[in-house]
Amino acid sequence: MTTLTTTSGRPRLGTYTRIDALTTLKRADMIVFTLLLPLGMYLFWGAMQDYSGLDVGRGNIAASTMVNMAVFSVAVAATCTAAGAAVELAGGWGRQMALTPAGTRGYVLVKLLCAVIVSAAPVTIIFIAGLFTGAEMDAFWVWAASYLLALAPTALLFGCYGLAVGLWFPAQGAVGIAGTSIALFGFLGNLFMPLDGTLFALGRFTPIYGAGALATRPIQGDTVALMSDVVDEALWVPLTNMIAWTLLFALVGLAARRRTTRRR
Amino acid sequence: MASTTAPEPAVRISGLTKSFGPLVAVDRLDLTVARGEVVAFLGPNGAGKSTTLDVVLGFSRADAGTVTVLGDAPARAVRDGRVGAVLQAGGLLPDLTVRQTLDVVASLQCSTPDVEAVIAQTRLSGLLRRKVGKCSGGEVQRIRLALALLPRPELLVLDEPTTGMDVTARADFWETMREATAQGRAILFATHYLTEAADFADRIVIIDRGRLVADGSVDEIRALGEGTTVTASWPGLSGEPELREALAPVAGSLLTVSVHGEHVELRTTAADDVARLLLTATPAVHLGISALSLDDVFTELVAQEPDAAPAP
Repeated sequence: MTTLTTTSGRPRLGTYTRIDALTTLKRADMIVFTLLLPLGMYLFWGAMQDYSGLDVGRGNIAASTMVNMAVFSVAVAATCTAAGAAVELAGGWGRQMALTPAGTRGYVLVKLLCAVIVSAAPVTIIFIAGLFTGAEMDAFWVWAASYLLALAPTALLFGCYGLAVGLWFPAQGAVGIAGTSIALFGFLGNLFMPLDGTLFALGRFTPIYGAGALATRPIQGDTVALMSDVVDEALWVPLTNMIAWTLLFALVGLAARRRTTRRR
Repeated sequence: MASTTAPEPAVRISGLTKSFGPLVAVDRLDLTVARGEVVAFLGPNGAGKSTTLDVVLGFSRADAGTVTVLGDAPARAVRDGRVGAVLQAGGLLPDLTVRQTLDVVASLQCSTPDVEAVIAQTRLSGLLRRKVGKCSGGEVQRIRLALALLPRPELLVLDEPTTGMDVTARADFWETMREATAQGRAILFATHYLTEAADFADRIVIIDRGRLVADGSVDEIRALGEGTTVTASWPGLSGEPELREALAPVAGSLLTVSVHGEHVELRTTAADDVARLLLTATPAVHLGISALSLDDVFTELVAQEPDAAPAP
């Protein structure tokens, strides 16, 4: 950090984060795509199927599906929140932000914090729904660990992804590209249904796979369910996926810094 | 003033050059704004005003030359909250209320700003609950001004603050500016309205095609176009000496004299005397008298073709 010799105090990001998170949560499109859609998907595939009660380690299939859908909802919410930066920057807000002592760095931090806070809403609702519709886990720590792993790393990763897309693509396209790509990543990342063979081999390298595999780890341990089989997977595989993609998106976002204050 | 070393000027630009591809937007520009001085930065569209201000605000870097703001690098001065800026159209979030917008920008400053005082200064108290997207152009400009004043900046930069506003809203904006800036802070504002420059600035700097065309007090700029233009036709005029001889009694009032065949064009500070003399003592006919407005001066200054015009 630079030293501030002539002024007292430092910029505070709390006010902006609070206002931005509340404004984002109240947007109709966010409610539909980040709350209702993943919740509906969980209820359909997780709660209402015959196999829901089968045991998969420290919980049942309903719980595992619940966590996967929570990861998906976080990815959508975080991406859309952060990609919203593209719209704001296109309107020139980046220049206004750059004029404050908090600067572009402060703005990006607010957007990431906001992505995590906004993402907490769908995870919480899906977990509550799971609690009442047959999702079972062996201990409280499994619930807590699943909740935190579904939320924090995924929100950070896809917050960075949303920013990168938002900064590099034109505003009108950015939110659409970001949202649609998450559905594809979710499929390839083994979230919606167990994959197999080549698709699984390929899917392991896609951005959401690591996040999903980490979040289901408290329930399933080393075991990953495929369509016709189960395989064992070491912790480093999803962890490396997760860290590599987060770093990559963060770097792509950083490379776009100068674009935030362009006149448009 | 205390007899310590003079403080660094608010803005010091020397030899600033900035190109976009083959287009040279700003060409070796020199400009200084002293502390507490109000300078109008005037030029037609595309003259390089916004490009220059972008460098002053640390948004972009100079290709060549140096720019310091309050003695510091531009980005540094901005980061320390010493510079406030009213940007051109855009730049606000339409979904936030006026109050939220002020709170957000206030919270991102280093010191805690007196938001209520700024609201009073910019007369926003009646608008606080309205969404920014629902405010009129003039109201939005007052919001921008409020945001710029929040950090109590030592330098205020305004980039065409009244573009797109109607006459009443423009007058209103400058009235607010006058009240809000009575504390003697330095102001640099770009505009293409000459009257705004003349009414509000201590000094006017005119640029055209990236180059400095004129730099002086409002009176000095006005003096560049001082006098009144008198035109006439003089059948059988032999040349300029004959004209000057005829006008000898008023020679002291003549600023410029030009003769194109029989057509005579003079600029003078005593148009009545010149006209009387021409009509009574010479064969001149078709006399015309027209005052030179500040706009004419401006047009004349920026119309000169820089490549073609030889040194006078």
